[in-house]
Amino acid sequence: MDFKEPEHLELLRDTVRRFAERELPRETVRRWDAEDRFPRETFDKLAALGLTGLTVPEKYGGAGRDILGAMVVIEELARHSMVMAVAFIDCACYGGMNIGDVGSEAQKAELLPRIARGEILFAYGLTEPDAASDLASVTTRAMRDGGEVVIDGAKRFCTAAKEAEYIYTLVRSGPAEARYENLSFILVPSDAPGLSMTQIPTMGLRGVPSYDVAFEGVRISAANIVGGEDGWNRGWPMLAGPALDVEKLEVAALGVGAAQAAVEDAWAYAEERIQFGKPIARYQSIRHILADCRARLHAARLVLYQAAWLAGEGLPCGVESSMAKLYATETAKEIALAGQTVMSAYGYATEYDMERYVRDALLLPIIGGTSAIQRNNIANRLKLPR
Amino acid sequence: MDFREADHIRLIRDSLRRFVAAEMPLEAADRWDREDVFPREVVTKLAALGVMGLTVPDTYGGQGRDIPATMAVIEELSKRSLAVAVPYIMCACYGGMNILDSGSEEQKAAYLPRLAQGEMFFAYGLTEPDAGADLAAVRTRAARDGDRIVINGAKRFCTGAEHADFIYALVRSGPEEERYKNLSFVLIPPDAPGVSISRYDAIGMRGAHLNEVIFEDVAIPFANLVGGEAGWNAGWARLAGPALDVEKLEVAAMALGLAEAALEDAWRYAGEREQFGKPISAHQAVRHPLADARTELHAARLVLYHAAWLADRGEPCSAETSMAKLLVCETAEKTILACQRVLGAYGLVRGMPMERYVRDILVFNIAGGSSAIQKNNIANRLGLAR
Repeated sequence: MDFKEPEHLELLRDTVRRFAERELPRETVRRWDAEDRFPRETFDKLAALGLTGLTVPEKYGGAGRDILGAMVVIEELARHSMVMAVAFIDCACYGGMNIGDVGSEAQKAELLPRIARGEILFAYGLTEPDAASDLASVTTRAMRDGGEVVIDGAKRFCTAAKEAEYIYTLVRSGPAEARYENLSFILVPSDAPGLSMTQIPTMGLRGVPSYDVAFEGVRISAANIVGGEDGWNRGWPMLAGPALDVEKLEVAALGVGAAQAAVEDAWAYAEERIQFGKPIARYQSIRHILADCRARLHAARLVLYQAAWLAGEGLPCGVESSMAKLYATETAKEIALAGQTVMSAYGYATEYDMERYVRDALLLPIIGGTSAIQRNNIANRLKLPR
Repeated sequence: MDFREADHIRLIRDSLRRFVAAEMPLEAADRWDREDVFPREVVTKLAALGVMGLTVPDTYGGQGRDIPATMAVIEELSKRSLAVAVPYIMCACYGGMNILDSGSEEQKAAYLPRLAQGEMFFAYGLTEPDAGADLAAVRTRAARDGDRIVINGAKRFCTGAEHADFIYALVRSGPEEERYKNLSFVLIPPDAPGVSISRYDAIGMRGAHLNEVIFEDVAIPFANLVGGEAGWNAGWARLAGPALDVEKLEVAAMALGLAEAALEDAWRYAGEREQFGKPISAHQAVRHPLADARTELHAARLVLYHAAWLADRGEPCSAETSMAKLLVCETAEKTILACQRVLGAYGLVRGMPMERYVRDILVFNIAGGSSAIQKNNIANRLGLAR
């Protein structure tokens, strides 16, 4: 075992930290949350650093796929702004990982260079009113009509649908009984006629709005079937492929970054806040909470990096990525709540960031496959009898 | 970065597993526990594998110091029986680590080759009736008398003293007020005149024996001062050195091994036991705690071996070893209790190892620096204001 990080990871961290110092001051990030506004102009500045190319092979203008590097970027961004971290994921991961893994050659040639330049964002159109964990039961229909695909149905909790250029949409492309064999992915431009969006107000991850998206006779060129003609009815293996393993890690990386922010703020507060004549950090009831948080954060980071390393090496990581998702996001939630305990009323007041960390952290065990789904995955993959 | 376990460690694990299957059957482990027997003959056979020398440089007849490999041995032995894991530590770690780090050249030459052969065992003589976590408060006195040292006092919870060749005892070698500056380590043979040893009956870690040791005018040669002349009044630095960092990991490795054994038992039981027409592992109330246990032990294992890797490279690892001790031992306790619940009433009865795991694990958040002390260490080492 060699736990020594490759040097370029520290360079990536430095790059993101300098960007965060310039572009992600606390007041700005707080405003995005309060106004629930997506700051595309700031994302464009991030894109200019070339980081979204971390998932894109060099021949398509990227930096060469570097899963660990991408996770480090997500972690560092999430430490300052969940909004910017999610925007990075929408481009580099939802776009770069999926198109790179399952796009047709034409789609790769067209989209990957733009992803590497950070020009286009992708929203996931997976969840529906009646299909969430059980994604194979989606009912949004796609019918072929000559050179076009016609889509009718509804997607829910479609994060950044309006802000993204494409909705990466899972559709039922044949009879529902065939379940896993009649699913396809379609790249639906977010401005396609027949699409209508209604924002779903949420307590956390504000700044990257979530939408109900209705599809009424939405006509898309068949060229937008992900994977080209071969992709028709081949959606399920695309969903359950390597991009899904990495998707779990993306959420885990959000968790590690969010937890880092929470423990840093709580730590600083405990050192400054004086009660009974000394910093509250000196009381073991506070001190031990902080020590515990550091230990758990350390563990969560190791679990994340181990799984990201496996994914980067192309080794099987279905179990480890589920463990990382489960462990890092549950830890992030615990740490944010612990940080709130340390800051007490200030952890509840909107003039500090802690309450935002809490609101954001509560989302992480839910998205990208809930904790319960990850536990199913782990037990199933490890062949526990059922 | 490379998270794969080194080939030579996998070979060591394989050979340990064969040894455990051949020499440490479950019935024997159960008997050592029930009858509180120190299985000396098994430890002698273990020594023949050469694993005692994993803490000793080859110039002194060992295999070369290899901390991760030492932890792997402890982990594998602990999966079956602490009655063998503890003597291994008494030889390879309490003996090998301390003599190498703190012994004089004469002591190294005299003892390291014998330790590497598994011919000597050291017991720690640290805790006293009034000094547990606060070790600098020890009162056992050492006075120089020509070329002898005369010792008076008492040591408590001195694991394995009655089976050891030396008690590695922390003594007060000057006025108490100087606290850290008048401590020394001496090697006291338990059969020296004036030493009397009695035994505690304890619920866990049975077989290794928890002793109370009284010293009444015990005279030992000055040559038994650890570190030779330079060691007089220099005990504190030796206590807080690298051997202490590794000691935290030894305890963590025992806890990890125990928890892995408990999980393996619970996993198998849940797959075999049928209720309501299907294996209980098919019920999420059982399935999910097992998935959680897998995940948390995965994290604990990474934290342990990361710290062992740091220690092996001679890098500072005081915070990381404390995190490992805290996180692994707390996780192991939680995991074992969850596994006990999976077994239902079978987790309570004699004849199944689960109840022994439960009794044994309770020692580890207490021994080797309690969880509270590790939290203090973490906060202090990470510079939290106080």
